[in-house]
Amino acid sequence: MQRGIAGLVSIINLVLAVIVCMSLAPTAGYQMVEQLTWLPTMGLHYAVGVDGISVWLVILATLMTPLAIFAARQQTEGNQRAFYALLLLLASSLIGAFVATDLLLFYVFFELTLIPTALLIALYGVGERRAAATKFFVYPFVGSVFLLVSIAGLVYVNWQQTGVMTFDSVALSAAIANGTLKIDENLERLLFAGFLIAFAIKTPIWPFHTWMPQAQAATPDNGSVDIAGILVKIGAYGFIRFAIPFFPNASAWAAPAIAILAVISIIYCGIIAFGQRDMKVLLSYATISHLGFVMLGVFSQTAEGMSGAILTMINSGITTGALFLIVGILARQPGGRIADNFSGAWLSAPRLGSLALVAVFASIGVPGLNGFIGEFLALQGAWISPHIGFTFVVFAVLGIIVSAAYLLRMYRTVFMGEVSVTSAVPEASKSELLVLGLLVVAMLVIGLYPQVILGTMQPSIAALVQSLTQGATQP
Amino acid sequence: MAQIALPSIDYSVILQLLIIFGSATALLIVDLFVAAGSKRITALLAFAVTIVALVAGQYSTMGSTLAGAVSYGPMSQLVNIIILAATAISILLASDALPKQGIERGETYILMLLASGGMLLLSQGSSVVMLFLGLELLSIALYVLTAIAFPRLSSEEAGLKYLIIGAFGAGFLVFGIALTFGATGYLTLSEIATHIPTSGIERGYFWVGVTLMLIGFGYKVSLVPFHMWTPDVYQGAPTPITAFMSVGSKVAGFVAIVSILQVLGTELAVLRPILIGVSIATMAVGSIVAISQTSIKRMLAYSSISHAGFVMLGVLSGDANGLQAAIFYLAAYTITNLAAFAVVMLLEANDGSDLTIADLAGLWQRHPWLSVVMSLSLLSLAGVPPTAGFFAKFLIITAVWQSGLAWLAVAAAVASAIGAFFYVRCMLQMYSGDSQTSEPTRIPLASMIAMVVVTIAIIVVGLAPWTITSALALAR
Repeated sequence: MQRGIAGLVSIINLVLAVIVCMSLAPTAGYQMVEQLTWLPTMGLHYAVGVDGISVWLVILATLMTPLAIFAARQQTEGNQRAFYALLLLLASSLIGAFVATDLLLFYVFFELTLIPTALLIALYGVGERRAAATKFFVYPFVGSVFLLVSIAGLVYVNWQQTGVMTFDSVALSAAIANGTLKIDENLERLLFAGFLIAFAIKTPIWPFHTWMPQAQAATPDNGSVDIAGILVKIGAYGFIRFAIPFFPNASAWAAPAIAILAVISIIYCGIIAFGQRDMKVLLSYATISHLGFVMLGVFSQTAEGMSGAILTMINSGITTGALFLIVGILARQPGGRIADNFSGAWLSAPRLGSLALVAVFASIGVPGLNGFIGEFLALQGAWISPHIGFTFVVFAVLGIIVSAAYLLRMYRTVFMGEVSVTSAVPEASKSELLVLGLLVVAMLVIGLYPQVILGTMQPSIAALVQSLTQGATQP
Repeated sequence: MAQIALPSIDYSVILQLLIIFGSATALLIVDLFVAAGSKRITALLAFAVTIVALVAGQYSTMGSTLAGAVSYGPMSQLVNIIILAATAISILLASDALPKQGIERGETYILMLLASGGMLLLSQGSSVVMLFLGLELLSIALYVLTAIAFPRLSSEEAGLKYLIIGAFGAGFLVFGIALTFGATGYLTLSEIATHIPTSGIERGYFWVGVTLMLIGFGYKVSLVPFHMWTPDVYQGAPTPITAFMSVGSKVAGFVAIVSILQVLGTELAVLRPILIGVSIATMAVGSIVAISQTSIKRMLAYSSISHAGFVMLGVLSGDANGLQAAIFYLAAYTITNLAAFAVVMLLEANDGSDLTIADLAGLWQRHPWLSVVMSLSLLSLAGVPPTAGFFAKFLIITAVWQSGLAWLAVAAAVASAIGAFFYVRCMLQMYSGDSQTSEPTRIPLASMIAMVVVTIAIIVVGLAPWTITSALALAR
């Protein structure tokens, strides 16, 4: 009953998001803006809107919610009402974070994502769930306190120079791009540091990633919370939308250092993933590794890199979502989430096996599937970027090899080999195959015709990159 | 012999004070005729008095009377609302908790009224003598209230500790008042402000005097290093009393500190480094020591110390933005703390033994709504949106930026980050782990009303901060 209502609501939401996306005009800037006064004396507004960048993340968020509800269909322990209420709350806070154009409103939604996720882990998790939930909440929260300080600082500096008290991100980035707001070099770096700490922890990027695998080890086995939480890592979006446009000089200055961290993320977390037996933890490290590519693309500050970064975020959502769903299906067996407990699943469940293979290939970045396009664009951007360069790309490519190693090994262990009596996996149900099939279709479509997504994104990205070069050349 | 000329008194300025003190005295007599088993009548009468006083605030005249010793302005109007609302809620909570623990006496409610009268006097007082009077009225009532759980030893101990330390603080205040008077020759704050000595030994006396006065109130609001009494007293006092004093005396004490600092005007810069040091130390000690606490009341005590440091950040800038932020912070802190203590009170055993954080385990299964209220208040204390505490923190950080002390905003952020850890740990305790007892908690009506009001207030202030900021804008 509760599940039905939650599912219905989430599907309606998805349909609405698709309608929004279809009716988006191919121009830069926010559309369908809605603005209400929140706290006039401080210049705060409840202001929301979508543009070519955020609309895709909204679609992804609305796509992940029904998927999570689907994955939770056998979740019977605990209070059902609270479970679905928290899932929907998580979805709405994510959507809120993607559509907010007022800085403080963004911050509110950004923080709000923590509460339902931490509660979901604490209430429905397994193992060390309280410790994991506490870390999940506190670690990103610590980062975001500094974000709050930086937001207050940026608004204050703007108020000092232009006499306008505003939290409107459009107005602030425009003021920086056209030079009406000039931030002193050192102050700009400090303010940027506040954004950087918050978003780097949230992305997460090495060495700030430890909260994530621990949290995902404690989430329910069926993967519902992981799927819903895929987008909790909205740090990369924060960089594209706020940190880089606000502080073009500081982010260009910091780009090489961040690129080093991103490359370490890609390789180091890939190697760690190779050592994991627990498939969910493995996927968790794989996600961090993918987010390294996202960060490279973001900080290339080129149109190619940024498009690639956003595409990789979307791909990572679809592909990793599918993989979590598959792990959830496998985890119903006595073997649980441990890859070594399985063997020869292909023989007993060939359809599941073939869909899983496509998802694994997509995650590795095999051409023709979605992962390839995103990572290729991100790396291309990094290569041509004046801030990063090809050395980083050489190392990052190693990460793709590592990812092939750990994902294929996991696949081989679980699906190949001899089937034994204890490890036989029954074929997935029709509905499961249907959902996975749809996700695989999405992977193919994006892989073969990425213009679907890139086309909508282009005007916004172009405007963003243009304002960056403008802002950076301002004396 | 010249006739003593009595100053003219405008009673409508001190309307709220008159109502509270007059009714408290009358209630002392009425209480004699209330049977021992039905002291709830006294409680309801006391509650009615606070509500009447709350309403009377709308009809009081702004201005100053008693030769400038007491005044009423937009700022004290707002502060009085906070104080009276906190008193009303605390009386409601006490009227349920005290009979349950077998320590109900009619005097409790009357003493709470008297204490709140003292708080009002601190908020309205515009002469140092009135500030002293207010502080003493407030303190003496609270000493008795702390020890009222006779014969419970922890309560007696807490009362005695509070009395000794409080007397110490009062001593600082009186000495400070004497020195200030000696240096300037005036008692009303506005006249002291225009007669600050610019040189000579008087200037020395003046600064020592002001500092001593600030120390006197520093004890009351538990600023480090004058905070030592706080955890013991909070833990020992009956929980509704702890709730009351944790918010009331903090609000009133800070208003008094603001009044004194406003006297200094631009000279505040002399004291600012000390105030900054005190506020950083207060935030740090409060949030770091709170981590190691196992008792919820002690944890909330250290949390209240840490919050005093935050309020101080707003106060020390001395400008209107900082002041508004500080008052907003106090209002948010008041509703939040009342909600937290209300839950603690309902979960406590009947012998008033200490509730530990471990006792919260499994509260979600036992009593989902109580755990929701407690979660909201803990999130608000941590400053997580969408609660009142978040906006309070945000306004303070903005105000600190505006006063040109950016690095101090970072210090506040660090303290807030440390604080988040123990609030969140405590919150998640309720959702994981198994319940220690299966005993269902019954929520009596009065506590229910009080809790619903403060919980709604946490959310409303968090989502619609203009409910308070618009009142603050008037109070500039």
